Amino acid sequence: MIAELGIVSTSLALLVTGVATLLAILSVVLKDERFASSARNALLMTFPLLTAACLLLIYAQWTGDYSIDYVNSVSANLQPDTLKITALWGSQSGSLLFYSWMLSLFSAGAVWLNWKRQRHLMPWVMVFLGGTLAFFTLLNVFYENPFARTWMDENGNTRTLEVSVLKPAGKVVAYPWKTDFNGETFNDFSTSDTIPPQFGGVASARAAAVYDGHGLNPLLRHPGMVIHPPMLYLGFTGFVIPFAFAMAALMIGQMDSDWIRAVRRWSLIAWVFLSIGLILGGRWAYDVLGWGGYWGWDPVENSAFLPWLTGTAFLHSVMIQEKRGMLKGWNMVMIIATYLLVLLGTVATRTGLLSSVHTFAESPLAIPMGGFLLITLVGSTAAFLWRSRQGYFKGDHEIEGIFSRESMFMLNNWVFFALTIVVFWGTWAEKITDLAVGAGLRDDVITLGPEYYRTPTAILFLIIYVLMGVAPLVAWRRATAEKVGAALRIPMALTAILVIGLIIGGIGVGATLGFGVVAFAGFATLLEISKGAHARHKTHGEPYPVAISKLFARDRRRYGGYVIHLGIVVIGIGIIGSTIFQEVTQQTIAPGDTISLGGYDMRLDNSFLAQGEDDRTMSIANVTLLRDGKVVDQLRPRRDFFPSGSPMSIAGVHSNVKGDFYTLLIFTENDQVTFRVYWNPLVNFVWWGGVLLIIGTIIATWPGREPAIIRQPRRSSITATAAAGD
Amino acid sequence: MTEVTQNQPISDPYGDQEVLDAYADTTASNAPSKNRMMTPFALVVVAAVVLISAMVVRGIYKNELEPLSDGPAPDFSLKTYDGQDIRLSDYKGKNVVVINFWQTNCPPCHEEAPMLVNVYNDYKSQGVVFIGVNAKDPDKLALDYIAQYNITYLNGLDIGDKIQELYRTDGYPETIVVSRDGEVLEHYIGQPNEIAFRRLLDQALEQS
Amino acid sequence: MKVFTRVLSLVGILIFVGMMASSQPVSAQGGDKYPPGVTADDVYKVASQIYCDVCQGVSVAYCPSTQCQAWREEIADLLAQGKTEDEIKQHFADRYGEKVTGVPVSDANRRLTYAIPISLAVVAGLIVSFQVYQWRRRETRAIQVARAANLNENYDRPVPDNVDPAYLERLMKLLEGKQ
Repeated sequence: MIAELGIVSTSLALLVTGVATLLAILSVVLKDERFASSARNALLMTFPLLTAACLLLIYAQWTGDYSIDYVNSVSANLQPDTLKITALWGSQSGSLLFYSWMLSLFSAGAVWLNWKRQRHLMPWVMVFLGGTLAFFTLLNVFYENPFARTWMDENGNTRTLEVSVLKPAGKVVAYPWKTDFNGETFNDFSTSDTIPPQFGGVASARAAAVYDGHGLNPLLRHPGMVIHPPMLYLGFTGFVIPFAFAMAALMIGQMDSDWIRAVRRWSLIAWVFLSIGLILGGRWAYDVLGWGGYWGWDPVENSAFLPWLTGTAFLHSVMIQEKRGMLKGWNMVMIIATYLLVLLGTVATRTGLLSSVHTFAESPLAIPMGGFLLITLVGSTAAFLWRSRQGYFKGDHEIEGIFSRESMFMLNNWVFFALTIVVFWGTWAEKITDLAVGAGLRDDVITLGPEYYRTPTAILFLIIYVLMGVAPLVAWRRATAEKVGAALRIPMALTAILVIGLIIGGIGVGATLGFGVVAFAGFATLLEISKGAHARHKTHGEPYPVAISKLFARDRRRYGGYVIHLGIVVIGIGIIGSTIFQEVTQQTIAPGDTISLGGYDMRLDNSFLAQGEDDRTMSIANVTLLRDGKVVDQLRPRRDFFPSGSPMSIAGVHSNVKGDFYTLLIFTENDQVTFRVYWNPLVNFVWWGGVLLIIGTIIATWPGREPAIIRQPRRSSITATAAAGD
Repeated sequence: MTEVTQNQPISDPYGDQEVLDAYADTTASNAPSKNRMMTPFALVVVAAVVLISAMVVRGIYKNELEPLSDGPAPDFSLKTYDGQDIRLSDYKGKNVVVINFWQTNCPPCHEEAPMLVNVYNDYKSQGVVFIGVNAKDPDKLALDYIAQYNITYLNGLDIGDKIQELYRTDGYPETIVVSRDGEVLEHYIGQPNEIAFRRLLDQALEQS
Repeated sequence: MKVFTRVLSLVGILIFVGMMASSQPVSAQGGDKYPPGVTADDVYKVASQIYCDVCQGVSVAYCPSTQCQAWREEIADLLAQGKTEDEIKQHFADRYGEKVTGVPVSDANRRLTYAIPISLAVVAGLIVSFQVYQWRRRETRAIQVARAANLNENYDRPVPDNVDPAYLERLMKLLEGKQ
């Protein structure tokens, strides 16, 4: 029942999306308003249909309908309720349905909210949104259908090898196979067969009666599972809207600020979700993966990081287009590249193109997804080159000085581009050199791991922090070094004091440089905010808190941006502390012994085994944490073992501002316990910086009075019908 | 249009008229002018797109390839644990070859080891050659394994996993049977069924 | 019958592949055994720079599989023999392929690894610099044109933001006061 309803709703969604795309194409070709309105309605319709499909799958997981193969693989009777729900994105086909749902959410949102203001762009926008959604729902229906079921014959034998969406026609028979060889009889695999209707087989298959499922992969049974994938997917799918608007602008040949204004908020929203997704992924890895770190330069992590890099560059670069009409071509390239990187990452993760702990198991998605990626890649590039050859991106603006805000933005673009190249090469070197091997130019491939990334990214990020501090103080068109230098006097002085303090404290050169640069950016940003507040205080006589809040309200974008920068500064402090100053040790101790690290002493009290609620066995150790002889905390690191799947380590962590004392139970023998203990200084700054990031984005995207701009009336081919309403 | 000459600085001190005229020419049609700087940029973009497309296509193609189970058996060289250097081509035209990929950390390999030794001992008089290819084990562990199961056929480490790449193996154990003339007859994934395995060797030996 | 056999082999393959796809690396049941004089920290310092395929993305130091345990013990043996970190990494690269280290150990490959992103970044930098230079060059001509023809710029002119904030506040106060 549920499965049938699910199949119907996803199939209907596919049909409706296909119709929407077709109607949108017709509205563009025939320039007919009615088709555009119909396309809009169809696209809006996909959202309730896909919502229904997702809810049905969640309901099946909740009630334990294990005849549905997906539910069987991600849910189990003993699984906690929240995980029964979040198992929607626990494995390939469910998470792909979830992905399509988000695409339809954003598509419906775009055609609902942007319809009136960007009326002339909407037909083309719907072509691209509809086309993307149609492709993904096609995958949901024909390639990875989450409602496929296991079937059994009239005797209750399960066709364990064949999971299908449609009920098999014909009579299902299952029997063991025997063979004779040299006088002995050997039993081999049991199998099943279907006697087709034309040979007298009467349809008898029923949905298999399966009473329990396998349950979610143990590593996924964690609060991070509840929120990390949705955030990440929101970030990924969110970028389809800017992409659709960019392509629409290319197709109708209007490359100025209109499409930028439409997508700015959407891009910022997608960007913040992607940022949260990345930070939460790091937090989750830190909690469960048991190596005391939060970022491993894993190919799939990088695939999510790459669009973040180009997306951040885009968000900055659009400012220059809005203020001075420059960099139109660059902005178009950046937003298209962001979306293409999202697609590339999605394809690589779901088809196993990149090898990683995160990739899904083998699936038939490789060829359709690869094809879709190539079509989008080639098509968007062709459209861009077509318009650029026609001269649409020729800038006709200028600057008076090489040292100016415009060139700072260009430098910013360059640094982010260089970072993208570094990370892209690190992730894809194996596949690219494999091309060379195939062409006979090389013997072997080059595989790059975490050691490759560290130095190049550190250098480039340092440049970014310097820019973060300096650029907001540099004037448009032409800046003078004296003025900028004067403005930077206080931040430089504060930084110098900090650096001297760090050197006296004996911190190494690299760390001092890192902290100095990051702090410089922080000081410069704080100074900007305080200058504005001080100015308000002087002219309006407001007390400082009021001054600050009114300042933020007056210019949300700028001050929200400053708060985001402060968040990045805080994250930077956390990364430098926890990377350069991390201490690790692994020791085996008996009860009563201590391990000392980072100024703490950890004493083993005892260890024991326990049985968990679901099917896990837990090996737990009680340890006491002391500092200077005084008890600070009691920790319980443990190791969970599952009947199927690899064991999971839950760390015992003592967190405070200075850092995390993080201990893992590795192995127990009799009463001796092997611990791996980490001292991660300042690591909590990473998470707090993330919170600041979110606050800053909320400030920046909060709907408010648009700044007063004198606009010239725009000639549009659809003004008449727009005035008539739709 | 006023003529501009060098000797009339007063009416047009900055030479604006000349510039204005030039500007008027280019904007006459109201269409955006061609940007000549695009061409090298366009080439770079096209090159990047071609590279990425090729990378994706080849990556997917290689992922979709099945383990090698027919056609000519790729030649390889192997340095055995007792120091010999052997090549697969040494046996071409002379022996039926069985290549077994194993690893000490793989339980099914331990399970099949006695069966393989038995089959080898039965068939070695008929000239069937067994080659054991080890993946990723330190010599000490590999030699312990060989001693544990009394394996008498040649074994060696697959340096850099090259042989596994050639035969597109996925895991362990996997067994390849190569005919006398160097064609792959069968690629067993996991433990081969002993009956079917022996039958195949019989068939392979019957071939000229 | 032959088709039947083939179908059955396929069935067998599917079962096994299914099992292999879902099987997890065999986890180390026992603790690592190192030769005397070699501590876990010594081993982990080297092992955290070596990667085996079994646990993807995680170094040999942190992977719980028996394969990585065997490699950690091999590292411990080499340390006991007095080998340095670089020698151990070279040993592993020679035996198991260059993919086991994060950056290739051979000079040629290592140089290529860094040459490609650096050269691409440099080329991009040149393009960017050229474009900024172009902007500066167009300045003279555009200023003359604008001045002579009193042209309207057909884009929106926002408030410049390098104005002294105090001045801006006074201005706004004045304007608001007038309404």
